Amino acid sequence: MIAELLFTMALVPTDQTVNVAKGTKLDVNNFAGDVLVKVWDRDAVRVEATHSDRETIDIKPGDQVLSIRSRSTRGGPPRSLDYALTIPKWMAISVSGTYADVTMDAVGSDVTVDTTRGDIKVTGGSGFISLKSVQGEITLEKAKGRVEVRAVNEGIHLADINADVSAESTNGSILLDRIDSSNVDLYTVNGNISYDGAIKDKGLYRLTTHNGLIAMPVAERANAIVTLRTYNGGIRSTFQLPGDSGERRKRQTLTLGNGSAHVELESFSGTISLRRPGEARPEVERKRRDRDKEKEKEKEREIGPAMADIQIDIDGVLADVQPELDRALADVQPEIDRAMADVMRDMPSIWVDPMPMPAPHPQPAPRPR
Amino acid sequence: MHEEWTDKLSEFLDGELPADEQRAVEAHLRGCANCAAVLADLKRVVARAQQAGAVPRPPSADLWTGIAARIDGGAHAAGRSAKALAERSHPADAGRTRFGDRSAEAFALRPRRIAFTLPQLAAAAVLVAAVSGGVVLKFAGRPDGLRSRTTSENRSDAQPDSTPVAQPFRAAADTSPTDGVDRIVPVSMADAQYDAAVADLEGALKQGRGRLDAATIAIVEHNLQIIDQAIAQAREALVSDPANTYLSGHLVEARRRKLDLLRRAAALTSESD
Repeated sequence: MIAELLFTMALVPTDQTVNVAKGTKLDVNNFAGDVLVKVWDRDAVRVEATHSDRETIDIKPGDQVLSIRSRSTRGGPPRSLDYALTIPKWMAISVSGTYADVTMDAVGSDVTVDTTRGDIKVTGGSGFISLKSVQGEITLEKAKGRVEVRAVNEGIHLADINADVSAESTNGSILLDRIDSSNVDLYTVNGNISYDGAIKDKGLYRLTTHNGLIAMPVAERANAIVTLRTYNGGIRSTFQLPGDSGERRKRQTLTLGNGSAHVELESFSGTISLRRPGEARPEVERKRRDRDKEKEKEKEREIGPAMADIQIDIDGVLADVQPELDRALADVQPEIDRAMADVMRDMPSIWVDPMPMPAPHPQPAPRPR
Repeated sequence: MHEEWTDKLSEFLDGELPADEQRAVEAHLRGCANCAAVLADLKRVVARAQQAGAVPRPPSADLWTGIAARIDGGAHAAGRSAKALAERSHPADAGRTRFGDRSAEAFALRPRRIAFTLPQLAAAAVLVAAVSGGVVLKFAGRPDGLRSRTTSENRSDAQPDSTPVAQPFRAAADTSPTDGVDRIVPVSMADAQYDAAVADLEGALKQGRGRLDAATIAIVEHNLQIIDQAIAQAREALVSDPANTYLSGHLVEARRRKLDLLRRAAALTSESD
């Protein structure tokens, strides 16, 4: 308790607002901790952080870049720091870190995030959006322009995107919802790729995995050349493929309509699955169920220690009240003895009047037909 | 319309078409000079790719400079090349690219991998191999090249438009006679060169691993294993089906991912300084 109090006393808040000229970019580096970014309608950047008194936050306004860094005033390794930043919607932002979790809400310009171990969740973004994390899930929603996402050991989820999209992971799935793009390039080594969006005329769509399923909707009226390739996997479709003889093939090319778009789906050892737009996406449902289960487990993991704390408290309270309980019991002991004596007196009558036994339940007889 | 035929040429060449389609393509080829020319191109490219893969060739010393120059200013060359390919495959469509009315130059600037289902696919495989080989050369030829962020990485950081996704076009440029095919000798992704580059990067990573925490190292190593497994499987498949252009391209992609991941991991160690 005392240590906690001392720790709290050593924390100092930073809350500083800096006016910025239109076109200024924001560059943030945070070694570890959360970076939360939201927007407002002022031409200013507000920096809020709580940190130890051993650290100071440098906010350096430049000609075109406002940079935010923390540094230790007494030397030593960098510490974890949580930032809450409020920026103009027009402002381009770049965040880098090692153990930084980055969350942005409704940002409206270029976005660059590069973290080694941390989740990235961005809503918004317009222009060039580049998100990279080695160990962390990347989620991007409601972005437009050009999107590049690079994960390594986790999945990628993109939704409501109106942009050229390039996304890749090594060990993670790539899930796209409601994509409006004519240029899509997705690659993972070990993971599924599930795409949801229209095939636009003259568009180019390339979805590649080594070990995983690829699922894509193909509208009846699409104009595309669709190339499907697999080596150890299979090709399946919820609709009849043109020229499909029912033979199990590893390579198939479909020319739909005038064939203006190009769609290439390749899975070395997984299934390539085509469906009509609006049809169920079982692979996504499974993924979401898995994610929900994982969240439940995480909650349980969080609740576990809390329950242990509560148990310790209960034990402590019981120990405190035990003398009181003993005293109360001693006070009522004569009453208990009297009641027991009364019961023993009535005991013979209990033996004489046996308890009624329940009648056996009759076997149900089959009804005549 | 030639597309319905040219789309099948790759499979035709691999002998993967059903017998009736195989016969139909043969019949069409007898009467269609354009498709016959495309098939001849495709055969030539595949032969070159196989030759490049079979014979490790030491690249000329200034090869990277040439490739780097093309990456820096190669958008126009790439565009020209894409246009040239489109014109060769579809003379009737001359003046526009295979991808419609967007200019080839604009398309070449896009930061993405581009591959085609037609003869370009094979050409792209050679090209990716050439550019990847360039990366190999870059690293193999510079002992300290992997211990810090490379020039190409810095370039791609500063200029996202120069990312490798547009490289297939550049490879096509290198193989296009109109752009001087003989000026740049394709670098093979031969095992010796590739292994040397990987070994160099792994060495850099090993040297810098003290600057990364154990969990990050474990993640990187786990993912390298995943890629290695993919490479091994693709390689094994190629042994039984050496002419399969899909497998060749897939192997090149997987190898490139390994180099990318190693480069990224090596960069992490230098960033942690």
